Parts: sequence; C-alpha cells; structure tokens
Amino acid sequence: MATNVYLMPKIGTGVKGDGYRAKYQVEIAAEGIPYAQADYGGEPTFLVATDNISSTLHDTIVADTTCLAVPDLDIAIGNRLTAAVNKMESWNIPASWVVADQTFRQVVRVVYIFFQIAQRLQGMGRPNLFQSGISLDTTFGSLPAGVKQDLKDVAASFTPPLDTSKVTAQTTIRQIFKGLSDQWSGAPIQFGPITL
Amino acid sequence: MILATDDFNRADNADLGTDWEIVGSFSTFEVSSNKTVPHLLNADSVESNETQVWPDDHYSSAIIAALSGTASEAGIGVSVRGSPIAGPGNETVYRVVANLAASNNTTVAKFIANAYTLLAQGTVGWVANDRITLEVAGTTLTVKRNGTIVLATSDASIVSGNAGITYSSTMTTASLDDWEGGTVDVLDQSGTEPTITGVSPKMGAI
Repeated sequence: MATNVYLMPKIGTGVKGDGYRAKYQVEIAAEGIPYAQADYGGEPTFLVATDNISSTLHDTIVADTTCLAVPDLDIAIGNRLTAAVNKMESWNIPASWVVADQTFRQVVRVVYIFFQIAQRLQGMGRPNLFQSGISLDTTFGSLPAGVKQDLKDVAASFTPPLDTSKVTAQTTIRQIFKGLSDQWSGAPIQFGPITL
Repeated sequence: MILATDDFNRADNADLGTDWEIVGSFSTFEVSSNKTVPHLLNADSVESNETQVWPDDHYSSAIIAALSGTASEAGIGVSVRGSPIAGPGNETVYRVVANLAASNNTTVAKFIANAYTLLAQGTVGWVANDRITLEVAGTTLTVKRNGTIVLATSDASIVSGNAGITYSSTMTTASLDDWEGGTVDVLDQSGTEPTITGVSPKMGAI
C-alpha cells in the first residue's frame, strides 16, 4: 500500500457536477483508488491523500509547479524545508513553525488542523480570512472588529472550546492558527486512506 | 443509544410525514411499498429527522433495500448534521452515498449552503440489504457497512444538525428501509478507527 499527500489549487464552482475540488481530483478518482480531499475553507487550496496512485499521475502532479507533493510522510523534511515553507506560505498556510527535523507526517497533521479551522470559519458563514489585505502577519489588533469576533467564535465552536485568552493585539494570524492547533486533541486524525 | 427510528411501514405517501423535513431546497423522499424512495431519481434528495434536537455527535443508519448505478458520486445513503430548515440557502449537510460501481462506489461529501465538496471516496462491496451508517463525532466522519468501518475522513465545516437520509442522482432504482439514528458512544470514537500500516510512498518533488 502506498499513500501520498499533495497540496493542490482549488477548482470548481461548488455546483454539484462541478463541485469544489482539488486540481487533480477527477484524474485521481478515475484511477479507482481510495482518496480524500480537504478544503482550506474558502481559501483556494486543497489537501489531498491518495492510496496507490499511479506513477504516471503522481509524476504529473509532481511536475506541476502549482502543486506540492509530499515525498514520504515519515521522513524528516531536511533540506526540503525552504521549498516547503515558501510554497505553504504562498497559499497563506502558516509555516514559520516548521523545522527541518520534523517529519512530513507531523507537518501535514498540523496543516490539516489549520484546514479544519478554516473550514469551521467558512461553515459558520464567515467571509474568507485572507481578503482585504489580511495576511498571515496581520496582527489581531489591526483586524476589523467583525473578523476578530469571527476568530473567537470559531475557537469557541469546537468541542472542547479552544482557548483564545492568550491572544493579544500583537498576536499575528499565523500565531493564532498555530496556537489553536496546539490545543487540538492528540488523538489520531483519519484523513481518508491516511492516519495523521 | 438509538434516538429515533422509522421502518416506513405505512401506506404509500408522497410525504414521509411530520417526523421528516426537507433539507434546504433538495428534493424529497416518499413512502413506497413499506420503504422510502427518492421522489425524483434525477434530483438530489435530503430529508432530516425532526423528532428531536439532535446531539452534535450522532449517527444515521439504514438498510439499502435497493441500489443501482455506476455514475461517480451517485448513490443512496444517509446524512448527518443536516440543516433542520427547509428552503433555499439551507442546503447544509454531510452525507454518504453508495452505488454499484466497481470502484469508488462510496462517496462522502458535504453541502455548505448548497456549495458541494466531495470529501472522500472508496470502494465497498455493497449489496442489497446491507446496512449503511454514517457517524459524526467531533470532526471525524466514519462510514460503516454492516457495522464495520469502511471509510473515514475529517471535516470541521458543520457544527450541528440532524440525522437523515439522502440520495445523489442519478440512479435507476434506490430505496432505504429500517432507518435509525442515535448517539455515538465513546468507545466508537476512540477504539475503532482504522490504522494504515505498511506505507511506502512514492517520492515527491519538494
């Protein structure tokens, strides 16, 4: 059994038949293999896990510079650090906490939690976070009042509620995401064919 | 613990009755020959059970009395955390549907205010009279065939809602029987999730 993980651009209109999906979801599904995909809330990126993808399709995704292929979940990031961090940050995925001796599985788990925080934001009907000039380095204090409340509401909506009492005016969006993810249960997270 | 059941053993009717409500603007189910069937086979259907305020973590389960089709993402199945409100804009729900395709015949998906996103697909050996179950606990969605886990993934978009039944077009025949919904017990959440071992991924390109 060979599992693979990818970050891909989001495509589709959200209408059934052209649903929101990862760039290569149709090609992956056509291979008849188990897979799962996760949206980054309203942001234009998907995380994808596959089982037994063909070498041909894998190589196509690897060669696509709009995508990021995780080489092996259980090896250290090592000298791939800069490339991985730059790619993630280009998609507004906080990555400044990633270090070379972490495994890709450890990193993907946290990224998947970031995605779930963004999903909840969208599910509660709140607008996309990274609009109107908001970036990972935007401080909580400089956010519009509505966005501040959105982030507090999202944290409070999880069971158990995630604590935001340490968030100050100087806390950045990237720090808020990481701080919330650090409070996630340590239990394994199932993402289709992989366990994180 | 079982919270609600419906065996659909009553006279044929275009309406399931007061225990059920359309989710958003989806199509409906009806009672036919002591089972429930989609009112239209060319339109998606979701109805949520309205007998109570459902706990956020719950399951929905039914016997697949008849299934057909090989179209990707089509199928008959069950839903969780479905909006209890009818009308456009309220099409919010997690669901699993099954069909008879040779591969990827089981689809977990979500609608958020009618925006559709497929979450996971896998291959399961469904046959008529299998019981299909979807559990939601926290952010984990677990699919069972006759009580055995066959697919699981996670999503955090939907916080709450009702257990229900669903249909994804298009099939030539589809029906459900002996529906039940209930609470997800702690043992199920912590003790039975599948673990993937023996992984040997292909090399990537970072």
